[in-house]
Amino acid sequence: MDLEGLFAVIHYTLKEHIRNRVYLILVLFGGILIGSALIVSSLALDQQVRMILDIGLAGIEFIALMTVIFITVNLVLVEMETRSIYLILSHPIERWQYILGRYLGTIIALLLGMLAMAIFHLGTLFLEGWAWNISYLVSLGASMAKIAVIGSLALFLSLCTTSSASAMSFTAFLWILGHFTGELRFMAEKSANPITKFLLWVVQEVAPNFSYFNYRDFWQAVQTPPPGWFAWMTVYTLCYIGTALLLSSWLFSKREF
Amino acid sequence: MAELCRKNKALVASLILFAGVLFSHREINRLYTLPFPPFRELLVKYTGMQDISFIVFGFRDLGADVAWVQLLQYVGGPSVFDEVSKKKFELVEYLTLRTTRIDPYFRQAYIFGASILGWIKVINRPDEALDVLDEGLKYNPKFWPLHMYVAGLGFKKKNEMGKMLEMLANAILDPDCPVTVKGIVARSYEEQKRYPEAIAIWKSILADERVSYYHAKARSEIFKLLRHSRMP
Amino acid sequence: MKVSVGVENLSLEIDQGEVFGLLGLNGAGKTTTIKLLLGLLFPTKGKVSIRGEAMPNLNILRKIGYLPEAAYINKYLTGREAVNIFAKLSKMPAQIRKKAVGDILEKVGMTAGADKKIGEYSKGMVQRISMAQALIHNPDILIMDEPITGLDPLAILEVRQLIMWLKSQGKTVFLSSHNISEVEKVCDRIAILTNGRLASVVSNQDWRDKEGRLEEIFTSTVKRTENIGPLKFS
Repeated sequence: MDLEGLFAVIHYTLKEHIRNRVYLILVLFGGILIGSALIVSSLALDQQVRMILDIGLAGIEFIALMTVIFITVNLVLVEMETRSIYLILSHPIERWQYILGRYLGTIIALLLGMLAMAIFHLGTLFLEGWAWNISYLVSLGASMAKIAVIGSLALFLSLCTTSSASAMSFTAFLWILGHFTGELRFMAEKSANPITKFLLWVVQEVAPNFSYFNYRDFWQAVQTPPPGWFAWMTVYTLCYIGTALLLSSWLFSKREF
Repeated sequence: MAELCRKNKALVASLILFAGVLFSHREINRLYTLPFPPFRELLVKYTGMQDISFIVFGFRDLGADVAWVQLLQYVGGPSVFDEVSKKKFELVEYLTLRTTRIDPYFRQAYIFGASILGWIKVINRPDEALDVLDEGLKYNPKFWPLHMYVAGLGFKKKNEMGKMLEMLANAILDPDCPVTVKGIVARSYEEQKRYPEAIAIWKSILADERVSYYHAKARSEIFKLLRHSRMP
Repeated sequence: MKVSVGVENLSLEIDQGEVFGLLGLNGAGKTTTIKLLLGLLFPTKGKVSIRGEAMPNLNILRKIGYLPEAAYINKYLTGREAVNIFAKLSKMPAQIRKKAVGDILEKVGMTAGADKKIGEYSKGMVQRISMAQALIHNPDILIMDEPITGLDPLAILEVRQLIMWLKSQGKTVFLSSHNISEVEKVCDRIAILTNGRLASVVSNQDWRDKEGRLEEIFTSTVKRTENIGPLKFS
């Protein structure tokens, strides 16, 4: 299978994001947020380091979330509106390669941004006397996986809906729903009405369960997940992203310009 | 049908992958349950919207931190050792459990809340302190300082102050022990007229760069205790 | 709901090395035809094929160079990077790509500005890069959509020279236009589209050395499609 077209799209997408001032401003803002944690954390008295850790990891994820929603929703829409997509698709590239290339280029750019913020965050933590814990890397990795999933959903929604505003709104809704699925499961179990029970069950099975990606919330729990759980989480993440991208490819293959 | 599948390969493949999503989701739930109390156990009387918002936006840890800061602001800083009206601390148990229901592994919050409730003279509500510690032990059964504090409270109730102080002296050896709790133990030593032990605790606070905001308090306590220890 | 026909029953035979023009009024279906050929639009009935292959076919697209009416290229890339990307998309081997990109940029007169971002380019410079991406992979077939619309006289002359050079290289050129005077200078044959249908195919022998003849043929063939009537000042 010839993947040169895919790599070409990844390449120019990555360049586009790194050179885009919006992206750089967001990464810079992330750095400022982490730096401000030094000031804000003084309110936490002797839990300063904990607060710097939490604000930092949450801040990195929040900035990445804002970026991924804004960038990914407009990823294909902008090229369609400016008609630069005509030149791309008039070349011998499969449409699925274009979609995958745009997605991967975006995610790589985002992950690099998250990594840059994490390096700054770690520097701040070490200055405050934090002792290294491998769980930090696992938490960061889980956060990155979460961003990759929401990014794939944002791309899919951008191809489903007619406007970028509605795609962004639906993506934000899915983000919230994804952190609520545990409660939906409980509500499904407790519900007496079979229709409600079924609907709730379907929603909590279909919606992405983002709570599981928040490893930073439960790394200190008495019982942490077994290794097999992490393997299944990897499968879950890849299958979810794959599903969203395949659906995006399918929609895009039907799109006319 | 075959022709339809061939023309819509991506759609068919996505359905197959989605089956993988469903199956892996089942396995994930089977292997591990998220160790948090359900929403219905959150304490939502005063700050429900804030707490739930943090959780549903995926920032549970940050929500717990904000709740912690609000607990500290409610209690006040070193001024908690001053004589104040009991009414001011009505919500200590509530605010402590509010914080820990968001993050049940925020161990220092249990210790802090229980210490304020159990050992601050003007508050003196050991039953509430025990409620807090019991909940802490439910989620952190292997966290030994909590056991120490429970034992310490038990000795306090029986008025066995020597044994109580022994327990607390061990409990505050935890490197993450809140400085307020150390201050409480130092005060307890002071009440038993065991000034050298009390001074030792305040000196350890003075040596800890992480709690520089407590250093002025520590210095004044040390001077006071030195004066007391010189008096006949 | 009223259904309008974009293009219907269009079948053209174009010889290798021929310069073939597609002439028609606004809304006649010229751009629709080109988009159907490139696979940007899909037929509602029947199929679109080039050299017997249903479009879009990647092997056929590899042999096509497309010059759109108004080129939009990613503004964050430099001219050189953009041409390089398009060379990669056209499956150009890596060993020859760098030199080929340099050569084509020189041919389109963009060597000096190649390393500036496209966002900083003038319209003319973007058009040159668009030409470069259409030619970089040495395609057999060039499809040009209104190549001279909005160009100044010097630029029009350069486009004409480009078309004649392509013809001399044995390339097949398929261009759409509603500029009769330019079309009659470069095309071997033209097809006249009206209301999405092929009205006639005319050879240059019918208009060569006969001033105004192509205009006569065109105006007598086409029917106005827009919802406006003709000017009545005669």
